[in-house]
Amino acid sequence: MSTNTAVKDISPSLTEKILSGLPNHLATRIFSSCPSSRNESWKYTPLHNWIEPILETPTHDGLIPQVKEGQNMLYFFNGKLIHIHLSSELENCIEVHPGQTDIQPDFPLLPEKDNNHFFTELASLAPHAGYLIRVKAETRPAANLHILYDWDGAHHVLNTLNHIVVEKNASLQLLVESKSSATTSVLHNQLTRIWLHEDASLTLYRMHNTSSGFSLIDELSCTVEYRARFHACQVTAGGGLIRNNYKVCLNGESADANLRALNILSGNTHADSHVTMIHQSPSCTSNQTFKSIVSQEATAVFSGTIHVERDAQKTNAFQSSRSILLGDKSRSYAKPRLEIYADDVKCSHGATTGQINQEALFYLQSRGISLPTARNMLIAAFASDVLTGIENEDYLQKAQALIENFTGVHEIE
Amino acid sequence: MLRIKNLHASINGKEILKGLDLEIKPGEVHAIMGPNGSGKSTLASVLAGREEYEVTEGEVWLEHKNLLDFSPEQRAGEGLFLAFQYPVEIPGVSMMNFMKTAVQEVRNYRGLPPLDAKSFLSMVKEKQALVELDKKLANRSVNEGFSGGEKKRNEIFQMAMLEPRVAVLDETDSGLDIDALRIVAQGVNKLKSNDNCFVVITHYQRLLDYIVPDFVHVLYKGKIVKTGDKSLALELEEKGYDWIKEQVEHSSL
Ligand SMILES: Nc1ncnc2c1ncn2[C@@H]1O[C@H](COP(=O)(O)OP(=O)(O)O)[C@@H](O)[C@H]1O
Ligand SMILES: [Mg+2]
Repeated sequence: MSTNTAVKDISPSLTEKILSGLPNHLATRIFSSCPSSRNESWKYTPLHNWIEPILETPTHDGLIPQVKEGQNMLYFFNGKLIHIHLSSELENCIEVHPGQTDIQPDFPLLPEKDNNHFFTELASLAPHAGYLIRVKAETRPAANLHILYDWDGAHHVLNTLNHIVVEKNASLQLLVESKSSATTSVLHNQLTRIWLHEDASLTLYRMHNTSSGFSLIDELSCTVEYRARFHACQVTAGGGLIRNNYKVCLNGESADANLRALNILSGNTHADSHVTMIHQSPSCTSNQTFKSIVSQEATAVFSGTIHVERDAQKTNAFQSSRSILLGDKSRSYAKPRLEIYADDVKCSHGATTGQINQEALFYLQSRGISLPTARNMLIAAFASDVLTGIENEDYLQKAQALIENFTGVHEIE
Repeated sequence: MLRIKNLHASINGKEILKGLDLEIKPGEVHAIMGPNGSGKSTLASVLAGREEYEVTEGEVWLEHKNLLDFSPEQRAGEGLFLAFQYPVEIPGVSMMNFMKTAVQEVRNYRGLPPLDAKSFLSMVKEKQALVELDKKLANRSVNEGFSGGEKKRNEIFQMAMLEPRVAVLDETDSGLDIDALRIVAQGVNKLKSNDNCFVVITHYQRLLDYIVPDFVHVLYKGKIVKTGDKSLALELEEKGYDWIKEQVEHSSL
């Protein structure tokens, strides 16, 4: 593993530019926390490389797209909500308050542990947009809610602050999708705070299929109470810098969190996932499965901490990060960490980086399968297990299409 | 059908095959025996085109084509098949997709039209029955979770699907109980015809009770040092390899 040498930090003048438009007292407060390469949690992610070009592009908006009526969705165009529709079923179960950023006083705010202050403060103190979603107790809508971020244009930094509350014994499936036009130049900075009450369940499917001028700094901060479950799956294909912070606190007994991600990276895409899984209470389970296929000059970074508090006996916590590198200049960094203060705990983590299995490749070739097809079959196979067990057909199909788009392999009928 | 002339091959700079000659006519079965480490699997790998092995000298003719000029997948198209000693598990690649892709690519190479879904399925059924492989192949990954015996039967199943002209079986019998051995041998015997030939690499003569060879060769130190008929296998079973080693050392003095 090598560290990035000669990484420039974001200069004060650029930082000022990011903060421009903010009231002075806020700007001053946030200013000094702008992360530098000396921050451990930004070590492999040279922010400067991504942010400078975005800040130098003059801002403009693309044309507001036509939105098809009738779908359950929140449609954001360049960060602004332009369309909202909920079916009557969803309307009976959930409340959506666009633009509402103040929350009930008891909403749990997880402690800032790593150096993402700058961006979380930016999002929480000066959001351009956002929403509050509340799923009412005892409701379990069958339909899922689709949140689409559509980007076309140049903006410096757009900040979003969201809150999701799933009340007691309620559940929701949320599909969050980002897409961007080829001429997009944006840094989307987003903080989403989630609170899952007793026996609540949230399934979050995320998909980023964006162009290289689109960068994302995203933080999910999720508190999971007694017997609640939080399942998140993310597929990333394309983009400039895609930074995903996950902070999950298993706060109640028998809570469950499952995080999965598949990065299909090419060009210069830099996908950096940062997980802090906090086991606060006994008998909770957590799983992290992160996989990256890295080609060309792309980079995958995974940094994951499992933190088990003293009282969190009977914890089951697993973490795995695997990458295959397809190009000479493809890079992958993994930094798993366990911090365990309880004694009755089952924890494991594993990180591998490798090439395509040569033995398997030869086996396929020896059966007459041409080299490119054989390679692609193995890449698709590597990717596929992140998606096993996904129930949302629509999401699954889109994810499969991204894999096929990358490998050119179609399952033969 | 297959003619190997003065084959020299090395791996990591170490010469393993040191001038191997072998000629096989259509319809014949040749057994290759020899002590561990004599180069049997190396021969199989070199024939199949494994890149790690460097061929430093010699020729391998399948009919009128020198196989050494072809990539592994082209060799399969030309009609070479290798049943691996240690079939690799490939999680995430379904048996069905694997076989469909292989069959269609091989057919394409041979100038045959693609098989429609129905014919393909009935072919799978038929060939599966041949080796009594009753796994539900559709949902299974290649060799993943297969027992030792199933892996070997899966190799013969694939061979049956790809209809090779030259099949090399590398210790397909090792680790098999007597029933599995009989199944594998039956499979081979049913596929045997006047248009193909078999190279059966084995350690034990017991397989040769079921697949009767026309010739038995002893490979030692990268060369064929003795050739005989089935009775040579029995003799080796009885006396071991020491007498052959002695003969070789003696004659090279
Ligand atoms: N990767 C390798 N590097 C160096 N030597 C090897 C390698 N693989 C096999 N060999 C050597 O090649 C020789 C022949 O091996 P092999 O063909 O597997 O023999 P057999 O199948 O007859 O038991 C052995 O001495 C073995 O140690
Ligand atoms: Mg061997």
